[in-house]
Amino acid sequence: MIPLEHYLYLSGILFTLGLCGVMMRRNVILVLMSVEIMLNAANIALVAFSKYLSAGAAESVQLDGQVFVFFTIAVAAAEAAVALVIAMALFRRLDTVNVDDVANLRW
Amino acid sequence: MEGLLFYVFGGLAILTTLFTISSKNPVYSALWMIGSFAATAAVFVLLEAFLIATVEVLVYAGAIMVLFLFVIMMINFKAEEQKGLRLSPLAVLVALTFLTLFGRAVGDLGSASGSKPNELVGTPGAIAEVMFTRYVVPFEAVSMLLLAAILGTVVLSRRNSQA
Amino acid sequence: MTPELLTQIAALKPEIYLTLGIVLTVIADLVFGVRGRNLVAVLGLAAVGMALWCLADPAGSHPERVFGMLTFDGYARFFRALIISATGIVILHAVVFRGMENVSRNEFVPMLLGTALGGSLLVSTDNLVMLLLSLELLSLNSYLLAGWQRKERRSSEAALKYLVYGALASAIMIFGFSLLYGISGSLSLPVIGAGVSAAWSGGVLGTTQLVVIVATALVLVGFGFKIAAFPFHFWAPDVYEGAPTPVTTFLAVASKAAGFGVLIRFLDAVFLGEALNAEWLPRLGHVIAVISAVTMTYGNVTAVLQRNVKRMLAYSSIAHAGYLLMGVAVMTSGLDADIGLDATLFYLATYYVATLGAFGCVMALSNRFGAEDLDDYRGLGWSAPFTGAMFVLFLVSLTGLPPTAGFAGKVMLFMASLDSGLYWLAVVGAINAVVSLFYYFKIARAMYLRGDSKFIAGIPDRGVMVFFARASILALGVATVYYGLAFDGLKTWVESALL
Repeated sequence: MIPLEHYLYLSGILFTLGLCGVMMRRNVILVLMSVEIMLNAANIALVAFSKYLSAGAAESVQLDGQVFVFFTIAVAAAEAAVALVIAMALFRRLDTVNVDDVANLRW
Repeated sequence: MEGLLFYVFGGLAILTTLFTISSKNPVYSALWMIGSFAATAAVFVLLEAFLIATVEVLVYAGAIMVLFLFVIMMINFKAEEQKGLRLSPLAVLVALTFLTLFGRAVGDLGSASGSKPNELVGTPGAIAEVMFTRYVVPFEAVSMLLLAAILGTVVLSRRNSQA
Repeated sequence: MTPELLTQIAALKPEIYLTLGIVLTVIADLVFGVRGRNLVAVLGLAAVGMALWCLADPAGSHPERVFGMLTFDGYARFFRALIISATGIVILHAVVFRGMENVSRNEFVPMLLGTALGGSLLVSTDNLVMLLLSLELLSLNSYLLAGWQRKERRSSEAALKYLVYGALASAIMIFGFSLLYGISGSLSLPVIGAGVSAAWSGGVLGTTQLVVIVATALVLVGFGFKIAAFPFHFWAPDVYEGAPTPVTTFLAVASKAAGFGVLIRFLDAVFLGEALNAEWLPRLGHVIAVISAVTMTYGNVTAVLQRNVKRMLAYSSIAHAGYLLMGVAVMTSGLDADIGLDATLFYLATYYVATLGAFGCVMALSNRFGAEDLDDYRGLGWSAPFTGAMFVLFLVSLTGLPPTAGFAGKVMLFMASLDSGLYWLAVVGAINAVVSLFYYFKIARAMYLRGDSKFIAGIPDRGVMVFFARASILALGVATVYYGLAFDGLKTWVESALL
């Protein structure tokens, strides 16, 4: 039986990697992909908690974490579609996907 | 056996994610990311979240990443734009701080909450039961979310003004 | 359908009307295309009107809490009324706004209604799943609307910037949610509150207390992005400037109200619900107080440097988020939550009236004269006497001078922070009010004292919708003065909305 913490470590490491991607990549598509990685890390934590936490909580609440993940995935899909269409709308004209080339997008 | 599988797939997930964020070519990044999602799905199977594992493969690895690949192919990247990771000390510091804090925070969360494994298994039936009773309003809200996404996507991607 | 289910659904009437409005406007657009421009607007306004009418219906016709996750109390009603009525006014202005392409004007209405739907669910829910989904409904629509002017590069850039930061904020917030779920084993905010306090009192620092801190920090980062508080404000000026002005209006008023609505409900349910955390809560209050002070100072000082009026109002709206956080800080400082909440809600109502009106004037001036920068505003006060006078009135209210509602709002905030011992915060707030006088006066000076006072005709706009848009500005102006002189009515309403 793997302890809960190990799942959480995995989730934390993936979240941090996603955060690194957001902070260190200049390509908007890659930044968006890194955000998806962060969402995925949260999913792992949610599923792990829903598997391990039955003590204390009411009996019927236990699959809530997995249902949350289900909705998170739906949100991620909608967000990805919207993100990509906005990126396409901009970059079809600009001919670049480099964050630095979009004056307003420097950070 | 289960322990071994977890460390194999967990390690794979970390490794592929590392390649995702550091690959110079966005197409490679997207492919590595599909691998990362597949490894995550395997971890979900170990957690007995079977429906979530399936959805992870279908929606994340299947739909979302294909969408990303499409866009990457449609926007032609110039060679000089394909930079890899740009290491900045501040970003590394933020990441390390967060990881240390988080590691210490969850260090004994499992034992503190006196957890014992959940007996419920994440089969479609079990999930559906919760989703269509307690979470029926959020389920309806998702439909509005998807409608809005479709509508906005259609408007923004219209090529020309056909009045 | 059991009768019980029907009464539960009856509580959702305003949302159902908004949804109906979305569906009908989409169909009307498909059938009539660009010709159906006024029809689509009327349908959208009808949906808003019906939703507001259902809100005005006295409580008791439906249970307060439905489906185990939506609470339609006075608090929710207050915020839903603000968000939905702001949507109506924005639709009115958007129909006649010249700076928008006609092709996509029709789809604008259902998108805006969807945003209102998200906002109104967001302020009513106490379940993390519903919170996430309604927040995303609000945000996704906002991203798309910010990029609505596809031919304007600024607009597309604003949308992309908004989206990247917004998605990042959501991801961070969801990670925080997962930790909260781990602490408490539930997704319902009151249960999470109990779990958090148990974890706090049961653990020693370094273990479970640290989890609480990390989770709270992650969630607050997410909310900070949504309300554009310092240091997560940086998207706001570019987005406000680049987005079409009706969208900017919506973001500055309705989105901000929804963000504060959910933030306060979250803090209340998780940290104030259980009477404990005597040591933890004041610390959180102090953190929020510092963020509040920095946010308002940053917003006001930077606004002084701006030339573009929309951008100036964007920084001013960051500053006002700082003022609102002042009330939230009082609320969480642990003494008397109601004083702080009272002041915050009152200030929000006055901010709503003045900002909506100010942006309405910006749109009217941009329609007629194409005015964008301060230089374009020279002498316009003489050419457009009504809009000019109203604009000055709203600016006076935003500054917080009598006899306007903004004055009463600021006085209440300062009193609340003095009452709870946050003297320094009240002083910072007062200094900030003086700083804000500088740049608000700059707009008024440009309109009346600069340039020659000869009449410029511009492109006058006519039509029924223009008339109604004008009338809405007049109504907001009347409300500004009325609530500045006789604010008892507003105060009673606010008191019915306390949590």
